Amino acid sequence: MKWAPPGERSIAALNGPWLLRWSAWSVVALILAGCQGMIMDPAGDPSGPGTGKGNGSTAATAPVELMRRLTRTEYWNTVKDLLGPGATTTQVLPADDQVAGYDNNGQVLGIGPLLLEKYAMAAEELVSSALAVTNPEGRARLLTCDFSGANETPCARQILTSFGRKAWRRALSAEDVDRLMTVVQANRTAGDAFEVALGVGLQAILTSPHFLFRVEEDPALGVLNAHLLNSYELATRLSYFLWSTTPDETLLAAAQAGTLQDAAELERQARRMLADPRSQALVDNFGGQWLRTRQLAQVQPSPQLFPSFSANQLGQAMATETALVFAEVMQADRSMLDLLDADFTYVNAALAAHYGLQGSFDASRFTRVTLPAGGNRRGLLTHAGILTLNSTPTRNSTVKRGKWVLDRLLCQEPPPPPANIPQLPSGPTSGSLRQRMEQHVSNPSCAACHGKMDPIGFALEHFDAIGAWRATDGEYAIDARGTLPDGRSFDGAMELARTLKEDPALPACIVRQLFTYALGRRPEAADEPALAQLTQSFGAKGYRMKELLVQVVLSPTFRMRTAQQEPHP
Amino acid sequence: MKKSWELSRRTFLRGAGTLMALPVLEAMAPSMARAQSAGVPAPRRLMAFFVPNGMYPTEWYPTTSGESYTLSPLLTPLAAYKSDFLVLSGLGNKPSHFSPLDVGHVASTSTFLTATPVTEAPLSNGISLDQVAAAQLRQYTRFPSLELGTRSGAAYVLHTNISWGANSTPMPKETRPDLLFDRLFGGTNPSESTQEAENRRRRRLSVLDSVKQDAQRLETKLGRQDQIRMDEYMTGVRELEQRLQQTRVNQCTQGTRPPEPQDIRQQVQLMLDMTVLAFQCDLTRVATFMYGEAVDDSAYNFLTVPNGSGGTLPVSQGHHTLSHDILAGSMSQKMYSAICKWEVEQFAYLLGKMKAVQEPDGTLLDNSAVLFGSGIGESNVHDTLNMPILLAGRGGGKFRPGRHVVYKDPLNFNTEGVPIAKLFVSMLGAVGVNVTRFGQNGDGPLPNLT
Repeated sequence: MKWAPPGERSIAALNGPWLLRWSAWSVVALILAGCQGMIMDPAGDPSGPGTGKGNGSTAATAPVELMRRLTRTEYWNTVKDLLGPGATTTQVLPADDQVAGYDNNGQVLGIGPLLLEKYAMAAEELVSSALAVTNPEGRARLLTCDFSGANETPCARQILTSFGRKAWRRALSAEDVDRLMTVVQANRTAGDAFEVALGVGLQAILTSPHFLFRVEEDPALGVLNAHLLNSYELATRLSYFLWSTTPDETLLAAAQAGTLQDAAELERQARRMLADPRSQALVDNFGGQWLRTRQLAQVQPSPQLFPSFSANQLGQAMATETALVFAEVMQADRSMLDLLDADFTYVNAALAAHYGLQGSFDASRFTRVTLPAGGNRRGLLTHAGILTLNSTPTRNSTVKRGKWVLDRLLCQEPPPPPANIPQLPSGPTSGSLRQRMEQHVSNPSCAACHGKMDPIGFALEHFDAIGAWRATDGEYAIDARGTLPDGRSFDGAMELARTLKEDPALPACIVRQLFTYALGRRPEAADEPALAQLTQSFGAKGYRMKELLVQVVLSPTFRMRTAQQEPHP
Repeated sequence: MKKSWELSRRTFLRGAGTLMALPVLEAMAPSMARAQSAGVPAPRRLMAFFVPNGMYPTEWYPTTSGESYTLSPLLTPLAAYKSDFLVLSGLGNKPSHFSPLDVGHVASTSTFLTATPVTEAPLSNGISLDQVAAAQLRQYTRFPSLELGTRSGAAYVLHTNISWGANSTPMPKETRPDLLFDRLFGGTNPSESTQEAENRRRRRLSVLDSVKQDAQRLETKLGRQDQIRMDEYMTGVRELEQRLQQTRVNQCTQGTRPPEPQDIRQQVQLMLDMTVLAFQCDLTRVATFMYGEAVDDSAYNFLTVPNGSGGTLPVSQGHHTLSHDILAGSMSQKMYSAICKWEVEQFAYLLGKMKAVQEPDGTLLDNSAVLFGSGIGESNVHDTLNMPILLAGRGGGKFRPGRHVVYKDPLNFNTEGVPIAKLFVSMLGAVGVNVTRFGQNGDGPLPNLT
């Protein structure tokens, strides 16, 4: 199928099994997850808390996609790909805020004055270091033609055209190139050497909204329905989804040839990209945010109580462990549900000691180990990182652990505690943590949600604030039994993992999480049929991550865009 | 329902853009130079200093009011400045309650300076106090405002932002004092020749000219929400352009570049030093300092409390966790109070620095309106209807500090205090930004400040 120019694109250009399903889709009611109806908002807000997972008032409208700025991670990956490793800057970009759990959410990827200033300064430093005489690799990459004498102007045009195409992820128009040439020539005329003047043109490319934003144009005025992305826009979505960086030449060429609109070619490209080392970005940026292990860089276990944590750099090791397990499950095409009870993990010497594993391990290199049957550590819930990031600095937290499971694995985050809750007596100051936490559940206004969260946390009571196994809670025996309101009960982490692995909410939640990351927006009511379809095919393909990634890429939602409200005249 | 509101904010943004076209040269003169020209009032500055997780109420609120009130235990670090600040008790932020999310910590943080309900899908919030001030005061200074803080990392947008621009845009924070120094004094490299500086300026302006054309052309092809985003981009470009066009050299002493801080204590003090320097050099007149973030569970291992048997214990439990475990006299309550007190000490440090700067008509502190507080009051019940609030400085003569003003019994947690938005109307007035309303319920100035 040939790429059709904007305006001629239509829904009919979609092929494959998705077409029928898409046309049959209708809006379904959004089922709000959480502890329905039990929490009253004392302020009388009619919507009450807990509507965060979707906004009822927009249930019938098509989701709007916002033009997204590159995230900080995407920006650094991209400039490295464009300019080579020798290009450097002293600029530090602020971290991107998260919405719906991910930092690539369109809602917050705007550009305030501070960011623009930093991008402009970074472009200046990056270009001058890329063209520095001390950086032959960068010069060879950028100065691709002979610019002596009369060759100067055509060579500059050629460089701007070629670099601009890579940086803006689309072919430049003659007008685009003319505009950039004006910049180069003006500075050349003012007395700059050729390379300096050319560098100003390159800076203009890297400071332009065409570079900093992933531009997706809306079609002509008055067209308010969904339309296919053009091939370059699709290539850009694909590349930042799977690689967190700019399209490579192969992908750009497919976009330029228009072949990417063909589902078979799109799938071929997606599979090629998943086999490329750059797909590690999914582990780091999707996995690290889905499972929240990115936050391990910020946890602060008490150095008095847990001296080994900082002494042995356990936080970094914990994050690496989970990333390696995630990567193996994805790359080896195992069921993603195996994350819950995988019989293997990866450890360095410090983590092996933390886990009490016998054998000799390297201080920095991670070794794959098979976990013994009948042991107390198996699967994600027993990864020290997951346990640590859901603890307070001095103790484990049943609430945080329960909330993490509900939110990250089941997409059933309970609503937040209300404001101005009735005064509770401060809990007992003695007894096991479990006994103290059970106070929560004795209060009806707390029970609705804590009744769901706390039992999950109780199952993990054998793990302390940094995820080490403990036989007792100080002087108290550990009771790791829990029962959910629906009657499912378990004793300890292994049984909890088994319960969760059988829960149909788990694969549906993985789909929902990946969808949020792929589209950079929270799923809305209109997306429920697509989510259901993806969940169904995820199951049909053995819950393999790469298959799910391919299905997301092939889905109409990924390949299309809903026009925003009519632009201003 | 929301659309026309967005449109009006967009109009507002455009309005702000036209204001900054003509810098007021006299007012741009740094305060050092101005000190020699008698009769010209020093600029007025506005600042907000946020702390998370509330203040332990029974040790925060003074038990007496008026001029001769006695400092409460948590206010003792401010003893040297007792005549320089007001304790304002019984102010609340009711609009925060109408946010469909965690009203306790999250909404009370993100609405701390907006007094407007916040929503997360779609993300929407009001414009914050500082940004309202910056929209007008930007015409006088190189930087419209500074958004400063101590944390920047993988965190939820409504935990990490108190400063919100038009169009519900959270304003990213600078958290490194060394980088802030570079930003404030960048472009004044003493080893650079005039010709080199001029060449660099020319190149930068040509980059901005080019990208401005890109943005203008692009805007015609975008949907409405994206056009608003492109407007933000253009605002940033114009701001940079304006800064490049100002060739005036800083006339105040910029001092030495601070190091990259090694711990939170050093970070806070260096950030506050830089803020005072920016005010002193009149590089900006508006700043926010967000200490920590909502639900901040940082440990304070450098603080200790008596262990009851002659020794001490480090405060190793997390701040948020402790704030929910405040049975009077318990070890956790003492640790919580120790953190609160340390935060007040940081504010005292700021006031000391501001008071040490002499201007023609008083000190820098006299010429400022500085807010200190938390969005949350009694933390264990998530009370956001009664907030712990201080207002320091004389606002150039608009406030009469040295008093404890009680607007409503702040220890009655479940009844609503007087809208803090009214205080914002008064603070804006003190810095010459005359508004009659602020946020959702600020329908006029706060009484009894003079």
